[in-house]
Amino acid sequence: MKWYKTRAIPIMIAGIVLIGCVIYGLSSRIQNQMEKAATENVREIVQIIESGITEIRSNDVSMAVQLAGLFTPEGDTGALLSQMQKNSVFARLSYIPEGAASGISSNGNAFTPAGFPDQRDQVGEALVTNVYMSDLGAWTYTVECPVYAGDQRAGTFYADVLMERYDNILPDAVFQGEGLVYILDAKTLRFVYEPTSTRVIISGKYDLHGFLDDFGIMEEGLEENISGAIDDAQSTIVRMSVNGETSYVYFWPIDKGAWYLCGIIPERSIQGESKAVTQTIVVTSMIIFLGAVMFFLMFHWYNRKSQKAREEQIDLFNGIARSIDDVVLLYDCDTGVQELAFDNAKRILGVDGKSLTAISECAVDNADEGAEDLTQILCRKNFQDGLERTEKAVWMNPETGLKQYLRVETAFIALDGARKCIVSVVDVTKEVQMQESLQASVLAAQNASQVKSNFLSQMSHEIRTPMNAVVGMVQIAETKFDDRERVADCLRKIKSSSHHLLSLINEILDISKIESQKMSLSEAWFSLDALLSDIDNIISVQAGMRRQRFMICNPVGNMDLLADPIRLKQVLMNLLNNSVKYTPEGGSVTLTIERKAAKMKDYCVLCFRIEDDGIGMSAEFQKKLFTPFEREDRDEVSAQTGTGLGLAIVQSMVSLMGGVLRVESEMGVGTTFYVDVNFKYKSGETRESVEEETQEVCDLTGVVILLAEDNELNREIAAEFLKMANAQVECAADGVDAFEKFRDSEAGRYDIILMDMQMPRWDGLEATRQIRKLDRPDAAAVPIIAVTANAYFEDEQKCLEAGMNDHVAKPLEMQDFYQKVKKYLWHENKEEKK
Amino acid sequence: MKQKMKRGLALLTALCMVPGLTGCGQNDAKIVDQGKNEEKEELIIYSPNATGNEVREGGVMSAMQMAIDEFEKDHPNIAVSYKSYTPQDYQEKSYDEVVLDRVRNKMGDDISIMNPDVAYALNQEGYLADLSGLDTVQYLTDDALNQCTVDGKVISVPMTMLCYGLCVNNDLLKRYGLELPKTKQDFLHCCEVLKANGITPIAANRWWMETFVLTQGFAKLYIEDGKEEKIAALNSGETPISQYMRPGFEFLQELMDKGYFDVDFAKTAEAGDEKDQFMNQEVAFVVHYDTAIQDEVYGDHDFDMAFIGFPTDEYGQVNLMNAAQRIGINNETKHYDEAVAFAEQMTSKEVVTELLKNSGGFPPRTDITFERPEILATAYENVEAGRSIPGSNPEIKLEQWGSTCDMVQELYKGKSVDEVMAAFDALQKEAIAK
Repeated sequence: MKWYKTRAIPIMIAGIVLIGCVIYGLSSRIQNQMEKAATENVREIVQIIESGITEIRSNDVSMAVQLAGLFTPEGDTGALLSQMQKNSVFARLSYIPEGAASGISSNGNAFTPAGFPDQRDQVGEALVTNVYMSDLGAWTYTVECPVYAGDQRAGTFYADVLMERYDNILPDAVFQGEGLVYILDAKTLRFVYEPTSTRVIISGKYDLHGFLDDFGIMEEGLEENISGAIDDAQSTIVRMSVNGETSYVYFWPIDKGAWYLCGIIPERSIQGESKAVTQTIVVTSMIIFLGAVMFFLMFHWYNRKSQKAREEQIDLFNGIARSIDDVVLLYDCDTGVQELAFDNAKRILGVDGKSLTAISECAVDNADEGAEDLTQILCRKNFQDGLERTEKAVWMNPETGLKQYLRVETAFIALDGARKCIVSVVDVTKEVQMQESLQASVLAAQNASQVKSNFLSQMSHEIRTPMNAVVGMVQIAETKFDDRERVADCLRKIKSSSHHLLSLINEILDISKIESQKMSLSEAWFSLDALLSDIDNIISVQAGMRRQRFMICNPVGNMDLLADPIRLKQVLMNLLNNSVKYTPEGGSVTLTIERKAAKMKDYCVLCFRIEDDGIGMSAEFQKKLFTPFEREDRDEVSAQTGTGLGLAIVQSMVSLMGGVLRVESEMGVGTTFYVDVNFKYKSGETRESVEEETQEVCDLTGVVILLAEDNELNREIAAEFLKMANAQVECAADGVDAFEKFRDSEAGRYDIILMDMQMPRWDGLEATRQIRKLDRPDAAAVPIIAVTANAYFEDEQKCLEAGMNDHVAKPLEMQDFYQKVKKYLWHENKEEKK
Repeated sequence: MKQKMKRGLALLTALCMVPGLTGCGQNDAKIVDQGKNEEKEELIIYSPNATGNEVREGGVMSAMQMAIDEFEKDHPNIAVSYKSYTPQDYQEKSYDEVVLDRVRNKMGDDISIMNPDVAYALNQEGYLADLSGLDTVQYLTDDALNQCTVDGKVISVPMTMLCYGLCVNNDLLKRYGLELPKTKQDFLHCCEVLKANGITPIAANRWWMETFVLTQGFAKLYIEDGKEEKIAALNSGETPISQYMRPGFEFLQELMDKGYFDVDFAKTAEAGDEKDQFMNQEVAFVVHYDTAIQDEVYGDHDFDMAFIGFPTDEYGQVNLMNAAQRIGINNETKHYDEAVAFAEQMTSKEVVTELLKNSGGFPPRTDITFERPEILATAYENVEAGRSIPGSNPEIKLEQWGSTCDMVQELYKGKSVDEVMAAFDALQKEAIAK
């Protein structure tokens, strides 16, 4: 269609204009030729007429002279004249004897030359008058001839010639009777002969002016021009409009200009036949021209109609294209030329259809094997094999710069007898990405499952190991019951295993807190030496068992630091445990403490460096070193017990302390952890007061405690711990029982309530809420401490929300338990003192 | 589709080539015309020519052309030759003289268009055939028939009746507080006032001032009772013609004496030469017949124009009626029947109707239906009231139209009214003697 607009229309218009010009040129040329021919025709006809008139006039004069020669003035001259006139061309013959005033005519009447015009022309011996209206009642010229009797002139012979003589000689009209012939007397400019034709009876033009005026020939200067030409005996032919019709007006001299032939000949009468031919040519040309125009208009109309239909289809296609994500391209199978491309190509592929074609054409030329797959598909000769395909392709979107995954389908159709290939391109990048994501998720889920399985397996192993020690030691103790020392040893080992189990559970609790971002640190003054001593006591034993050399280098000396000593010790212990664990026997583990200046007063930065010459870590594993449950997949690692939580807890804790943890490790060489923490420190005076507080003795004498615990064994242990501190304990088997006991007691009866969470009927939470709702003074005030195996952070929150004051996790550590109870009792006492 | 188009084009081309191919190579002689020239009888009509384009359409020449065309169509074996003459100026022979010469010299004209005086003269000389047998005659109006009948012989048949009167520039009259004149005295008053204001009242040519003369004197003869007795007295010589002519000539003399028209111009002017003076509003009065209302004559005027009769003191306005374009047939013609047929054609109802179609006027026939132009209302009123006279009455032995015209020329030349009257009376005696 663009070809049609850009080339066909201009070519056709040019063709039509050319045809028109040719027709016009031919017509003009023919017209010019016809005008020349017409002028020549007029000239030829007039010349013939003029020759005839001249000849006749000459003959008439000769005849008159001859008759005069034959005339004898003797006898009955009248009869002789009459006889001579009858056989002549003359209207009248007359004779006047020499010296007489009058004579006689052939008609028997007297004759005088009185009416003769003055002007006469000498022709030989004869005199020829101008034309005049004679007494015959007609335009006449008279030939005067001398008559001799012997040598003497006897008289004059007159021969009258009527101009009407030419009625039977001259044609009424020439050129199909349209061109009338007049004769004008050149001297008087008087018309002396008029045609007798009845075609135009009002032909009575008596002079040149009247002639021109009556025919409406009023062109300025024309009359003067013609008059001048007549004076000079020149001929004149004028082509002009006469009464609205193109005509030739001619003035042609006769006999050296004495008379003039003149008249008007309509051009149509001259050019009758040739005009018909010309008209036929013009009509034929016009028909051809109109045919060409009609053809062009039909062609134009047909193309416009087709174009409109095509544009509607394209609009429809584009409308569809806007609403779908399939880029549809139409190629001619024979030429490989793209004929149609949906507008959505730009949106989906970042390039419009035309550019896509250019790219594909370019690719064909370059035949670059490394080009994008899409261009390879489009440029392939697979348009010609007719095989319908569905292929995957990749495409580098030039707009976004991102790689796209495409599905390309080809189908073949026949349009107007030509084979076409429809190529459908669909962007499946999201599907591919989704599949990849799903695969990654599945893999991650599988990994997670594997990790958890490993974790559970590890947990099982970790729990079973100390449990085995507990169960085994209990059995040994039962068999060695009498051996006190052996029993005591068993109990000590049972205690140790129990602590291990507890630490394991605490780690899980810690990681839970860390993940929920609820981990918090407490602050307390502690001695650096004491901390290092505790660590040394534990790690030395462990290192010794693996025949490792453990050494603590503390050039800083003892310091009193304000921090969470438990969490700091936990951090260092964890790192050191790992070093011991992953350092082969005979290896060495070193803890070095360095001090750096802090920016604030009373603060210092202590750098704890834990070095070992153990198995080290791979660089890849170092990237996910602090991810929970992540353990390096190596035999040396798997051989060691571990939850994979330690380092995650350590990093979180160091971050909470405002410190920095980093690691340097090399496979087979060893690992070094760096823990830099900013501490507030103080002098020795404050250190002593702290030590006094930690040495307080627990005595719960006089304290009445309501213990709500459904598990009988746990209730017994807790009751026994409290009774060992001299407290008075009242037990409840479930929440309702606890509520009723409190409700039914006197106000202030209980100093504190220890509430298990999971119990029959009402759990601890509901019991607490009901207690708090009681309308009695101590219902809101009595401390209620949760004692429960639900040790997660969420459990703590639930307890606090239900109205409890604090939370103690099972298993109960006796001293911790006492401290927690004392905390609230002591707190109450302080409030009372105030 | 393309294949079909190609096949169609090929077929079309082949078809186009067939005539060309079949025409090639042929060189057979073919007689395209063969025959004998038919000799047609020639019927010659001699006629004056109306000059100028003004009569080309809707006028007498147009009607004549129509009649000739129709005649030639009905008579294919007759060729009409049309010959004509129009004098260039007053120095040349008049058409009347030429017609007389031609008939007397037997120039071969079968039919001549002639004025009444020529007709009467040629009839007297025995050159005209009796046209009583024409169908047209029974349809002629009394006036037309009377003017063409001499002693019971219809010497010519008219194509038209011309009603002579005065064309008046009413605006000029109004400008000077004048009204259309009804009497001679009114007219003279108008002339006096106009003249006093530097305007020449009348424009005249060498022919038509006779109408003033004739109406002034002959109104009494035709309008009052005893017409036959009066004519008889004239024909017997009992009443001299000068008795009727004198009032008119004296009136004309008064107009001349008072300079109410340019006599020198009138001596040489042909009919129509005065047109420009009237159209340019240089004069208030001009003599013309009723066809003057045609656009080609005075119809296309820029002023209020009236057409009235000639004012007389006794009878008010009187118009003069002339049977015109008279067709006479040569008594010696060899084509009498054809000439009669031609005369019938020329005076047929269709031709006369055509003549009246554009200008109205007065038909010579009684069977014509035509529209009466408003401007001719006064003329119709005068004629219908009997206030009209014939231009020439063949019942009177002295031909009036031509002889009056001649006498007017003599008056122009300086003869006195008495001399002219004496000449008239002599002519009367001469005519009676014939």
